[in-house]
Amino acid sequence: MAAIVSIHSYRGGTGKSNLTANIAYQLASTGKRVAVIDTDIQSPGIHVIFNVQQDANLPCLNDYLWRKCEIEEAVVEVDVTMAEGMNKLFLIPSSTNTGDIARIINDGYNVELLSEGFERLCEKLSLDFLLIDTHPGLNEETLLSIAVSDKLLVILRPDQQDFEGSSITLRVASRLQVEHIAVVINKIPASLNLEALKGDVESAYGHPVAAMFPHSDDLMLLGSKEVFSKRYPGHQFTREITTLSNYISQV
Amino acid sequence: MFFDKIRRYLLPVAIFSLLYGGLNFLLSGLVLPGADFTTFRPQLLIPVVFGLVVNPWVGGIIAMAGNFFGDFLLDYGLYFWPWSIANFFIGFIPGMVAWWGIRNIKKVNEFIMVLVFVFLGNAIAMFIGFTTHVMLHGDATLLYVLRTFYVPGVISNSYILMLLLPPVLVLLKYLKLNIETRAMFLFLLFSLGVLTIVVAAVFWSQFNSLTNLIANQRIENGYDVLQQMIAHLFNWIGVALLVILIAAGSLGYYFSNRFMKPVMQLAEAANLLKQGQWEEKSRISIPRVNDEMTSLIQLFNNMATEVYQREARMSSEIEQLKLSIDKKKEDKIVKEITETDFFRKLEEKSNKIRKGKNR
Ligand SMILES: Nc1ncnc2c1ncn2[C@@H]1O[C@H](COP(=O)(O)OP(=O)(O)OP(=O)(O)O)[C@@H](O)[C@H]1O
Ligand SMILES: [Mg+2]
Repeated sequence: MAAIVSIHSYRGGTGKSNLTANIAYQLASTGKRVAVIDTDIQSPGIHVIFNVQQDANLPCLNDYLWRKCEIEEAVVEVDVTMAEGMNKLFLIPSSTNTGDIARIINDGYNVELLSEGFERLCEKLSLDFLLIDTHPGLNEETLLSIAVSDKLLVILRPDQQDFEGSSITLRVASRLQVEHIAVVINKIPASLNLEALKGDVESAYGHPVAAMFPHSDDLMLLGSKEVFSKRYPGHQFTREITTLSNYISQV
Repeated sequence: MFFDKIRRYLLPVAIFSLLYGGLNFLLSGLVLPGADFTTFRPQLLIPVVFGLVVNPWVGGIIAMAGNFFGDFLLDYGLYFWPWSIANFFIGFIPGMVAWWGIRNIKKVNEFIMVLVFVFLGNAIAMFIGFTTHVMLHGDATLLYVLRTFYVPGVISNSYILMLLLPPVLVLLKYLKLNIETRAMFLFLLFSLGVLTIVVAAVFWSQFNSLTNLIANQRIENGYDVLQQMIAHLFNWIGVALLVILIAAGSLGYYFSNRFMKPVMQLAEAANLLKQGQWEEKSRISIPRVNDEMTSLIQLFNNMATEVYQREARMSSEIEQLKLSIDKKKEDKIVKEITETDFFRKLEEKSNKIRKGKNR
């Protein structure tokens, strides 16, 4: 049975796409069948990390939402050089065409289609994990993604606004009865006490902190052009990604 | 007190005095042709080395006792006794550098100081020797003796010592070779070698033509002319020695400033860094010359600054964030989201999904 995992943050730029890509890579390299769907239709980005070139002739998530194709037709195989025992990694990209983006924002679409698409993907690709890279905030497709998710990772930075926003997401997610909810703290300044931060966040939210990522210059410098944990297998960040991936496949 | 200084070294003093005297006897023929007092006396190394390495008294006693012994072998008896007293200073004066804390040579200025004291030892010893000799025997005027015999004598002694002493001191580990002393040492050796060749060539040609002239009776007073020629030659050697010493010293100082100093500074800074005592103010000042050494210093400064900052970050009191939630504001937003039709439908849907999965 596939697990649908939403990766969300209340505000933008928390590192959702990078974490999603790295978790996906990590899970796939332990032999899991993984697909990533970019539901950030308004500002897609994760294909950049996976080095997937957009081709106007190929269908993408937008085409499915406009009923121009089946969801499985929008799937592309991510070309990350495979380690031994590593499974294929699938991506369902959103269009980066500005016309497409404007159209979907103005005309909207049947959000229901999205949840049908998720289920169909899980089935057609016989997935172990479907990772959803979401748009920040709590718009309809994000709420829907959360509603149909088995697991939710809420990413936040140690920052007052992130802290308040994540609290809202978590309360909404609880109302939607998401089974496993965990918090991930990213971009932590080196001078912060990790244990104290973890304790504060867990007691404030009542949800576990599944992983904590210090701010990393190395990651920043890679500039979302590659999957970090593939490039730096021994890095502290990569180790924490492994922890997080294990958490996801175990709960 | 003087006896205290040599008691422990009685055996070496005895052996090396005999050696010194013996060499005086054996090498007494090593006289520049025609120049009575300008002998080449490599045996001078013995008292000088003992003076430096052991102590001044040991050096002095070896020279004095050795000279008496040599005179005895040469059948001079005690006739030249002031010379034996004078010899004492050849060994004693160089050893005096220890009074200024020089127990071995690690720096250019110590190197120069030792060479200068070796020179002074000879200059003073021979001055004493010649003046007392002239006073006692009075066979020539002091000025003539000093000009004709003293100056060439001092120069020949200084020359042979400058050439032979440094290698011996290296072997005895008294002269420690590092960037600056090595530069000076090699320069000395090289330039004195060149000087030797030049002097030999000049002397050879001059001497041959002069002896021809003398043999053919073309000049009178051949002996005096020869003496003057040699004195003249030695004056030039003296000038050359001075130039070489200054050049070697300058080269040593150059290496000291350009390489030795930055290397030591780097080592010191690295040590501070290792002990966690490096600070921003320990940054090494950048030399004005721009070369590899400068790049290295810059690189080190930057690296040290980075390590320092990283450590400061880690060890500075780990901070704690104070985050808070405005409950009322939050309630309002949650309400806005959850009280829409869309959300109600979503709740139903998720309910269905969860039940379906539980099944
Ligand atoms: N731990 C980290 N340390 C340093 N930089 C990070 C870290 N995590 C992410 N970043 C950087 O933050 C930026 C935003 O990352 P990313 O695009 O993954 O965030 P996002 O949440 O997907 O953003 P958006 O909301 O725009 O989709 C990127 O430049 C990324 O390199
Ligand atoms: Mg993103």
